[in-house]
Amino acid sequence: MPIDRRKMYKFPWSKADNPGAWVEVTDDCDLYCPGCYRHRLEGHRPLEEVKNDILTCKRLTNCSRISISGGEPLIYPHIVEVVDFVSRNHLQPLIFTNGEKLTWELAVELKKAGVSQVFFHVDSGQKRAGWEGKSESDLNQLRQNYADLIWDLGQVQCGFNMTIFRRTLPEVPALMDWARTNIHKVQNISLIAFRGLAVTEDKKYMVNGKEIDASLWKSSSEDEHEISMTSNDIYEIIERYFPGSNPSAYLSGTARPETYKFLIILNLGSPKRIFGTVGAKAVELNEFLFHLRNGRYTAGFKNPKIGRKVFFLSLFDKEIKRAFLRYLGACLRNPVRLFDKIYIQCINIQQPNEMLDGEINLCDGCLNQMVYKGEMIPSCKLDEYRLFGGPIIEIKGDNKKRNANNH
Amino acid sequence: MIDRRELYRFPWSKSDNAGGWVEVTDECTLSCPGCYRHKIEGHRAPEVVKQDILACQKVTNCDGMAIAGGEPLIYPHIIEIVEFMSKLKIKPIILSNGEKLTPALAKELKKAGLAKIHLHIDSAQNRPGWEGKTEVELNELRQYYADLLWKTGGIQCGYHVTVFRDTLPYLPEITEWCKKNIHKVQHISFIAFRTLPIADCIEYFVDGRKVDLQGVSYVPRGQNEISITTEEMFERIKNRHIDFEPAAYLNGSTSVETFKYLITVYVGSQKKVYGLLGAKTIELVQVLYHFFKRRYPSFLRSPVAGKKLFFSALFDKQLGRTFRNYVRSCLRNPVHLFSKIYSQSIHLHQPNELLRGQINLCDSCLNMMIYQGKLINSCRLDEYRIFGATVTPVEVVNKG
Repeated sequence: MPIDRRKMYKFPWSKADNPGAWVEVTDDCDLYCPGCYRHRLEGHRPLEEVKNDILTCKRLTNCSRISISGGEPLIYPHIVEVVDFVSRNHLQPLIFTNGEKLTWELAVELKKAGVSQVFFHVDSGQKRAGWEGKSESDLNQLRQNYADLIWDLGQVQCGFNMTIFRRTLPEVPALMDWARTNIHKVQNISLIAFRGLAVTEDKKYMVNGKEIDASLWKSSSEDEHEISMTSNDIYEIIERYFPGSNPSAYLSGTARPETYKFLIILNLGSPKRIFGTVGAKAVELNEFLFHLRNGRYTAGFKNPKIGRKVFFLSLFDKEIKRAFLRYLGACLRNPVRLFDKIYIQCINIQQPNEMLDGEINLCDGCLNQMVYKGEMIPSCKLDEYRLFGGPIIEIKGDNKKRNANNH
Repeated sequence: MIDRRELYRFPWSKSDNAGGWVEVTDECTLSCPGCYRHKIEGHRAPEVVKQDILACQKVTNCDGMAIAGGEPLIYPHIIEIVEFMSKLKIKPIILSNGEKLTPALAKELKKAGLAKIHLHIDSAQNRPGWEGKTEVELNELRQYYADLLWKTGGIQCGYHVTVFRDTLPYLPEITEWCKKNIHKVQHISFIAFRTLPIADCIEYFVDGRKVDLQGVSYVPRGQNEISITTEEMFERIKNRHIDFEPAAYLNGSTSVETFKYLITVYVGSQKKVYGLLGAKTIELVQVLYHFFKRRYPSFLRSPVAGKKLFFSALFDKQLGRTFRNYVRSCLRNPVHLFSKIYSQSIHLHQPNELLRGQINLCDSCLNMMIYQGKLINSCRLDEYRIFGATVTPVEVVNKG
């Protein structure tokens, strides 16, 4: 079913009023994931510098949460202190990790410091020790281990990031199936289409007026087909296996507003059954009321155990109404269902930073902006600044020929 | 000092925006410094303009659309375009220098569904008959058009003023004139003069090729001329109008801390300006309109805000103060009770600029337009038309 934009809500986020911001504590990592934007250049960052960046982010973006990332943040020696600092500044700390260094003891420490969500990047492209050659379905076992650990910890939300390649696209339904049965334990799943710089004979790039050597860029691909998967492609496969998975909100592209950079499906149900999804009106109401009350936006729901009260929103929201009717039907067939707890789960399909017909197409309202030399930049572009001194621009066809002639 | 935490950042984005933009011609009867447009193609075919309007509506979900140019009132199909837009339930706004605006044309435009007209009038235009006049003297011309539209009825009236270093001191007096005409003038934009600087230390590139802006771009007299900020304009007005407080803004795309749009909204009647709207009221208007109509409002159809507006004082401290002033005025003179309540927005703009080596645009620009099927910033149209793509500045550290 094609996506109907008119039925969705465009998040009202902007650079200056955004629920999210991003800080990186290190560029060291214990894995090497294809699609990673980060190069090992400076190692662990001084704690005071990280704290300054957090305060600048808060001031410039009006954020309500900070994603602590890297590199691998759990190998950063001051990670607990950073989480504590974010929390003390009345911001929600999120950690983006591959999970390799997460032990029960560290998880307890992070919870004590105030961590609100942990996102695990787990996918078969990582080739992590002990899981080599495993399929995405096999990796659900590893995801379950982490989900159980966070569940046992309590009061911390759990999310998973997965980079999607052409070869793993058919495995998305298996991941979705696992996520749906774990709706009580897993609050977020991000399915991120693989992107990289196309390194082909006819592509040339420049920064600040000078041509660059694109092979220095870690995440590059000689296969343009591999880096062209869209949010629509990922959505279609989900919709085929789980009909009625209607997206409710989105972020569009900066150069191509018709692209979906974030496409959000909000499942509503219990571990036994998904009753339906949350619609655009409920998401809009949540954003609008949160902003009116707190003066800033939110990315997500504070309590994923949303309960039956969510069905009151049927008054405004047709999607919730449909879910409510299914819930009533299920309760009539089996009254035990009345005692099931109702949860909300976010499936976030992402089409990241890309070069489309020579133009840089970023997320309009990007949730992951960070401070670099005092300015806010999209975190996915950090290494363009660190390696080359500015954003990479593609040199289009005719001019390449003209430049060659000039030389 | 403007405290951003007290302001509302408009919720607009490229794909869900209050405004859109279309150009019908690049011909004009005046030649204003600061104008982005070059005379290249003349009048555009109405069918092409209509296709652009449809595409713009589809991509931006806009509520209002600016019909600009060039000078749109010399476009032979202007009535047809206004009518077309109006039938699509988009509020048509004409941006004109007013030279060709007559009472008869105003009536025709009203019949076609024109919602608003923004008249660009400032002293740098050197318009025939007004050469050498100051901004204060030009209030007479502004008054003429305001009266013309007031008599026509049903079309809102707005003004654009490009602000240069030598005209900056006049902002308080133009604001004073506006406040006196709150029933006739719904909008004024003070737009800081900007252009890309031409200097030895900057080179410009398009698609990897160095380009020369000499002869294409206006050459400023110096960096000082193109560095007026919204904060500077705000301070100027604030010095004379101590009640002047912004309520909403748009930030810059590369320098987030800049204010590209800074909006103050006065509330008053024909007799008196009572005060201002605050951020909460603007937020409520934007989100409630969107919740029920699925798009953000560019402005409200009626300039008469009415007394119902004061209900918002429950949430909005600024409006609470305005309401108390209104009540006091009514107690002193009950005739105020029967006066209509109007709102008037004063926009300070800091447009497209080169700042710290990067092009700093309006984040969530209200004036996006279609060019060859793509949505682009209208201020950058001629970069596409002349060079084929946008211009990238590069700071030259050691030239030679």
